[in-house]
Amino acid sequence: MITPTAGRSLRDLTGSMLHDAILRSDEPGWLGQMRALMFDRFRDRGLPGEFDEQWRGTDLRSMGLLDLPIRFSYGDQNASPIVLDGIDAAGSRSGPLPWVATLSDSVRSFPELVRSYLFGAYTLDATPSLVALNNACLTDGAFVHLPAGHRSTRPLGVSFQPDRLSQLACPHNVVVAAEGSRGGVIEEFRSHQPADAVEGESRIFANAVTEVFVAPGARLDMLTLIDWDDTIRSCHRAVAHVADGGRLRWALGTAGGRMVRVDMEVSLDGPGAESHIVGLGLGTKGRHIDHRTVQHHSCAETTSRINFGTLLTGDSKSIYRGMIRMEPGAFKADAYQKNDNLILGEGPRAQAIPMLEILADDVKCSHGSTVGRLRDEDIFYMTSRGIPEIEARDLIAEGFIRRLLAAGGKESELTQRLFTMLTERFRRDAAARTESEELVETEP
Amino acid sequence: MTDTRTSRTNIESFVMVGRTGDFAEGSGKRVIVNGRGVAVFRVAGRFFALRDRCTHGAARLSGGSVKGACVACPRHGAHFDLETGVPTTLQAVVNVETFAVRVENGSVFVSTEGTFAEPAWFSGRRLDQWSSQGEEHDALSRE
Amino acid sequence: MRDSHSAGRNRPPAHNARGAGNEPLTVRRDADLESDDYRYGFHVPEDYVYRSRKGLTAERVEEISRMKGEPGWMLEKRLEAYALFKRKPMPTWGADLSAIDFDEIYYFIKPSEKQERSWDDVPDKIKETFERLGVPEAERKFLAGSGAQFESESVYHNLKEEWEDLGVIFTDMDTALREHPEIVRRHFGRLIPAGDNKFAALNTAVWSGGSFVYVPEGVTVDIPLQAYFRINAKNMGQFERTLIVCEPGSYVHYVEGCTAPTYSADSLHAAVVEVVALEGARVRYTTIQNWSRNVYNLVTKRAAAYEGATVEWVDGNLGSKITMKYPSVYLLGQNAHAEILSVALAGDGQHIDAGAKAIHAAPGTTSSIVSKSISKGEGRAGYRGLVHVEPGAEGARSNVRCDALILGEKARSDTYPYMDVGEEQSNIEHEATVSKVGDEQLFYLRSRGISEDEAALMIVNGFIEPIVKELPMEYAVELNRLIDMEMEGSIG
Repeated sequence: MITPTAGRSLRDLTGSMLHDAILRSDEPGWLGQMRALMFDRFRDRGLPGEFDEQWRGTDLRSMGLLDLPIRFSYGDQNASPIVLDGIDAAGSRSGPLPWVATLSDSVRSFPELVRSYLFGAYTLDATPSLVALNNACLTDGAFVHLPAGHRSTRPLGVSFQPDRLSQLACPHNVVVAAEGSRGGVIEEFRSHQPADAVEGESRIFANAVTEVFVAPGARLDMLTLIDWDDTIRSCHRAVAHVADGGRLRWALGTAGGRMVRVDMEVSLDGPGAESHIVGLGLGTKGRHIDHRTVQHHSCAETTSRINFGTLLTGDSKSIYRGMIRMEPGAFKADAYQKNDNLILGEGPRAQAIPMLEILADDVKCSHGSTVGRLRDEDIFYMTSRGIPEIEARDLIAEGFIRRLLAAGGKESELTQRLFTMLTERFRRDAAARTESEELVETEP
Repeated sequence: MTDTRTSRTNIESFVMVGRTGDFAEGSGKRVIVNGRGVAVFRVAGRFFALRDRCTHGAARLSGGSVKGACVACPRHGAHFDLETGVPTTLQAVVNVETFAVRVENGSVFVSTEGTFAEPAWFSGRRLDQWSSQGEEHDALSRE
Repeated sequence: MRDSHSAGRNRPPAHNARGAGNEPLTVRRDADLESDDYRYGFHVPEDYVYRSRKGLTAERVEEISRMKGEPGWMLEKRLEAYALFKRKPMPTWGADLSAIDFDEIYYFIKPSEKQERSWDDVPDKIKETFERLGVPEAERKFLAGSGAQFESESVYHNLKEEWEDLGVIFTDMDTALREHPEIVRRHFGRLIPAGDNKFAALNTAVWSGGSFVYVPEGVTVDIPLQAYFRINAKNMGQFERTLIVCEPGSYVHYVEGCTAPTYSADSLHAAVVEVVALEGARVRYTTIQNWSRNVYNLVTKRAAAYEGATVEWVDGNLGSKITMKYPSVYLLGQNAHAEILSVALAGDGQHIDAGAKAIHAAPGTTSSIVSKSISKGEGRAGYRGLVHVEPGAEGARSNVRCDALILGEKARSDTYPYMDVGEEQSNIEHEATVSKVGDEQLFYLRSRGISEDEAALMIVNGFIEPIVKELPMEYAVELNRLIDMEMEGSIG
């Protein structure tokens, strides 16, 4: 990949610097051209500001993004933040093996295949500015391809773990499930800052993008796990396109981080396409978590379901924005969205904005959202039986997570993994409850 | 001088924020006390200090206009009583934190410890119980 | 006294009070004589002529205040509001207001100068609607903008005496400012200060007309107060300002508007309504509006409910080209309750962006919001709402239910609800559905011999029934008839 002058921050980076770096690298011409186009686009639009409806309540411009050094690559392969898992174990029952490799390796080995998917989630004009930034400065990522007809026995794993240097990292994953294929993919974003790390030591901002393409008749099970330490800030745009008769199940779990923003958009592009999403955002200590989901129907007889929840303690703040949009062609489309926000404790603040924009008449569409304590009696029930209040809360939290994941459908290895990660993280953070003041944002 | 509301009156818990000449009559100015914004107002020779953050929409009260004994937030016009931080119009419903101010030898000091008035629902206070924007209107008395 | 109830409305029969030449008689009420400016209580130089002019300046604001003979403090408020109006930006959300040209609007027209349109110019569809709704003859011209006056003298006067005995004040705002300045001053702008939004600023600068209601402690007003009673061209204006104050333990039901299509030459209506429900009071405010299709109907309606009080907004939005209206209740005292019912019908060329807001700022407060919207043809109906729970509002409970019916493939429905909760011990629920008239439902009804049109109509009426049943009977009847008309040919 490209390696422009080390230590460049966004503020200092100019189009011509990027251009020179691209020329010096071994990247194919088409990739360099796209980077340049995307860079211009980012420059035009800038970072989302406070008047941007989709960003109200999350002040991205105050996070010093522009001054962090951009990590264009991780140089030495041994130190790569991209870890791949399960390639051998994903031995197929039938058909060719799946391809799982870093983006840079994939570009070298199968440039045309990568080219037909990379950056394909949006048209140029519709590319949001943070995605354009990622596309222009992409660090590396993984490219996963399940060939036509392939059936996996085990999920493939892709993991991104930045090193400890201050940086703006732009990991980019592409997952393709070709026609008729069946498989599972787990993508993780994690970091392990030592517990005593002080805010000033390193600042990492991860601006990630994941593009998912589900071809006609394919079935893909995805799990996205975000498990950051307390100092990282991140934005993740996860976009999926599901073609005719394709089916996508996607589980999302976010934990940790000082500020975590996830945009999960699913576009049902062909008749009979289906998607089921289940997600949970864990807001503990003083985190700021912001989740946005989009269910976009433009074709007949498409189905989408989302069950999204947030679990909040400490002094966390959560925003959930859910959009169901149906275009005029979405004849007999069926969409459902459920959002539950459980507040445990006096500190958290939850906002929920479930939206509908319906331009088609023959559809079925509904959503529900709840905020607050779901059942007062639970805690009382337990404490009256001698269970200490803190433990009662942990049990309620666990029950909430379990119910949410169950609502997403049949349990699978992926959802089990998600459950484990979330409950462990909740307990760990709960143990550190008394130090919640550390992460409280001071007012401007 | 209105420093009777804080529990401590030692000079050590007050921070100097400027000279009296730095504050124009009938307006507000933003200062930083303990890393957080405070809006200082000078009205009819008296000084008032409020957290520089409207409890409705987080706009800076220091940029608001002074109406009698109140300040009107620049964003949606909510009025706050300068002395107690109590909203006298909607859309604000939460009291804003107030700070004692001392003037000594031409310097203005703001306390580092703020005070909150009781919530309106607790004290039974109604919006219309404050004189309309602090005018000298005799028909309305402060309760 | 409800002897006119049999006429289907609390309005006088059509044959009343016409002069010899068939010109309508003016309403004789205190200070309401149309042509007698001296009654306003100021002295106008004989040779002074006020000409209505377009556009707004500080001088014009002063003129308005002077012509009304207002006290200095109101003039000051108007001028401050005018400055705010100029500074404030247009909203960047909601409907498209870009076509509003503030320089082309007449901000104050002397009633005697108000233009009428000829009855021949009134569109046939409107005339047909009057017929179908059973609107009395005398009212038709008035509603269609073809008659300057509508008098309701006898009924109004009889009721007025009853109210006055109770200490209830029901008059227009101009009169209230003159006769009860201390009450007005105490409450004016408390709930909606001039800086609240651009259109509240505009209204505060140029307001004229609107209602003033004051109900003393413990008084229950049995009969709904109807704005219609004191309506005439002078009061029914574009910048109405309404203030309702209910002392502790009182009850009143205020009703404004009508389902019949109401013509307005003015294309911008920026009204402000403030309702104060003190401890234990209960206020119900019902609005049914069916403005002509040229109107931009932008209303800021807000209520404050104190301890144990209840405020109910019942809102029917038909007509207009664009409506932006979000009745709100601020629950400021313990156990206060808010109920907001909204029904909207948007057809071709219309965008109705309506909604509701409930702010829970005290423990034990509850709110219930029900919104039913219908989009047909190329219409666009939306719900935009807010439920906000402050930390400390323990035990707050809120339930929001938004249902939308889309009739026809070109119609559009939007839902933008916001929930902002800072209190753990609360329970906030929101549910929304969007659907069309169900095939199964239609099939079922048709299998019982009901025609497709009738079946669709039954389903639509059933859809809005929870709100319609809360309306005063005569409005409910008219609304059903109106839906009947609107629905013809809508299913297909």
